[in-house]
Amino acid sequence: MAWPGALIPEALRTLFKEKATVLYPFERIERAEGYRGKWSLDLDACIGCGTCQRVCPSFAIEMVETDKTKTGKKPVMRLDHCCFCAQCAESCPVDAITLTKEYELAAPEKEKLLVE
Amino acid sequence: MDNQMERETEVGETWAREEEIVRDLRSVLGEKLLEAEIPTKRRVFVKVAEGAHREAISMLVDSGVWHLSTISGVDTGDGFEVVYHIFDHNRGVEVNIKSPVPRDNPEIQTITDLIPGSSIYEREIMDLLGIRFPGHPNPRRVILPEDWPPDQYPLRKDWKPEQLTKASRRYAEIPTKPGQVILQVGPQHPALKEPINFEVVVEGEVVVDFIPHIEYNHRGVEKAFEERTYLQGIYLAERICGICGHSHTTVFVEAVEQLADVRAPPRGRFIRTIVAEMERIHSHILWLGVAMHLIGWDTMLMYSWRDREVIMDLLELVSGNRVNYAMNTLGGVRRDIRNDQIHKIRKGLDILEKRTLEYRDICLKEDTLMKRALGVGIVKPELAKKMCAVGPLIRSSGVKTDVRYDDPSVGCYEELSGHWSVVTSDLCDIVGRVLVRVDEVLESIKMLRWMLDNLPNGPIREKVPKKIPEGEAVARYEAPRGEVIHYIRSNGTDKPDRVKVRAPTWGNYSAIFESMKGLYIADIPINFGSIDPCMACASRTTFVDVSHSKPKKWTWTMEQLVEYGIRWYENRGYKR
Repeated sequence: MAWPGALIPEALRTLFKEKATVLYPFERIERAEGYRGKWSLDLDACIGCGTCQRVCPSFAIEMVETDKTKTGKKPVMRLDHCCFCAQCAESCPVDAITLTKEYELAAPEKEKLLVE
Repeated sequence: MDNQMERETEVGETWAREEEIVRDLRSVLGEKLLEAEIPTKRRVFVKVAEGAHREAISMLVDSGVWHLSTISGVDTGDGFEVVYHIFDHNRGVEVNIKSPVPRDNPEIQTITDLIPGSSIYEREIMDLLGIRFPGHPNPRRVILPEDWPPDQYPLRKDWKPEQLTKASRRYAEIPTKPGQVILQVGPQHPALKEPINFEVVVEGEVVVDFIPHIEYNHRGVEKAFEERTYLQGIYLAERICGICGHSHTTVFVEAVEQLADVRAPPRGRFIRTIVAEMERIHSHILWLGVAMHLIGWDTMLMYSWRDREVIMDLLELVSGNRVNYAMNTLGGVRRDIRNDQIHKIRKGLDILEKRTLEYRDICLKEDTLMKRALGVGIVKPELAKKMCAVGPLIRSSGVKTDVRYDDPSVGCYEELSGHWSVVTSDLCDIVGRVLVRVDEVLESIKMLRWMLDNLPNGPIREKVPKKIPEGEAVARYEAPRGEVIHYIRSNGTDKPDRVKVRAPTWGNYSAIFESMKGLYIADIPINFGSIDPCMACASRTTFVDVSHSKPKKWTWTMEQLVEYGIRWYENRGYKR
């Protein structure tokens, strides 16, 4: 038989529990291992092959001129396009790309969203 | 057909049911059956002569078939092809009937009199490919805006976004009788936070007619698939829906695997299914909160969403993200599950099981839900079958159908059969839909435990070539909201020729809109919410600039948006 207030026992129990939320900007939850956050490139390892650019599903990676790699090209990534799938990291033949645990990525200007 | 027979004896499998269907169709159609192919178990592809599709479908309907998964329209270059995907529940076979349509006179007879649920799919093809269906009872626009130029069909291969002219057509007027009022619900409605607009014809408080405008968010995903490689397509498929993205990638990769004749290794299939079931738990608990919020019971929303964090954390642990898991890849999955993760998943499942049982108890005991929702939004089994409803909606009408049970070709459901059961309810109303979903969470927990116990060792992925051989494939899966189906046609390159997506919400629209008639205005949000609507799934376009300005502006300022909004309402007959 239905009766009002079936939630009351649960509500009373919650009184003596720790709170479920955190005060976000002051406290942060540790992300799980293997979290796919901000893109990062190890330029010393990069060979400039351009695989990451070809596989990127959201066309976020561009190859720009550099003198650090053999082919004279290196990838730069636009965060506003990135969909954090980590396909570039998976396809990279020399494991130069990793996705870090950093997740606070908002910026007031588009130029600041360019990751090199 | 002869080649087919040889291959079967090689594999050693019997495809008796599939052959029976082909035989039945051949006996009715005779010479009009042009081609028949059984590419894999539970799939039949037949090509019929122009105009013979009705004979084939009426034969199937007479033999007790009622479910039309979807209709796909394909532009083949020199003509069109309409593919009817019909699921035969008795024999467990998806029958795909292809019928050619000439390009100079694109017309094909409607099947709405045979299967009423086909109406919305035919209208979709009318919009996107410009194929006419003579005899259709309501040939209105459905997926494109009503003021879209009348002779532009975006899914035709020769269509380019540049040729889009200025919108000109006015919105059609809705006829009303004296005493009836048209009520606008949405797109920005306090009770319905999804971009959809209903024009509800009401008489007093009672709904008389229900006209949806679904076109707000059409993103053109199907067109975008044609521009991307199969690998990139996975991530696009994931973004069709924010909550059941894994289900979309599952069907996408399974269809491509069928085309490439690759089967994911057992461990890969198990992990694929583990993530899918975890996603179902997350989706159902999320829905429980939303539904309770829609009836004004926010306490329940807070508690259920608090506990949903448990499964969200587990998904992040396994896949690396809370949503958009990116687990599936062609030929398997991308990440393995380690033993310490399995331990954590088990612990989380124990908490979830306890909590779900408690919610079930509370929902049944508590007056707040019963008085509000018992007997509201009735969808009788006959209506649900007629309108080809899917998922928890049709199961709560007492029809035992579940793609995981009827068509277990995806993931590891073949191994799972016997270790879980299909949940149904005969209440046919909103309470029934709540109970079905809550019980499905418990079933999913059971399945997850079994899969974790029996997780096979070995590799997690198989290599799939970049270029996929020419062919066509259909994959179906039971997403949290119901059947999701992808039809992929490949042309031998690394990009698909056509990808047709039918998300579960699209399949449930017809039935739920029909059930609105006779309800009170206040019941609209919860009744619509009870199918777990996902607008983003249902409508798939791109933002196109129709103003022909030079240089092309792809971003609108606030002022332009305001101006557009005013123009839009004026066009509909509302004056400032």
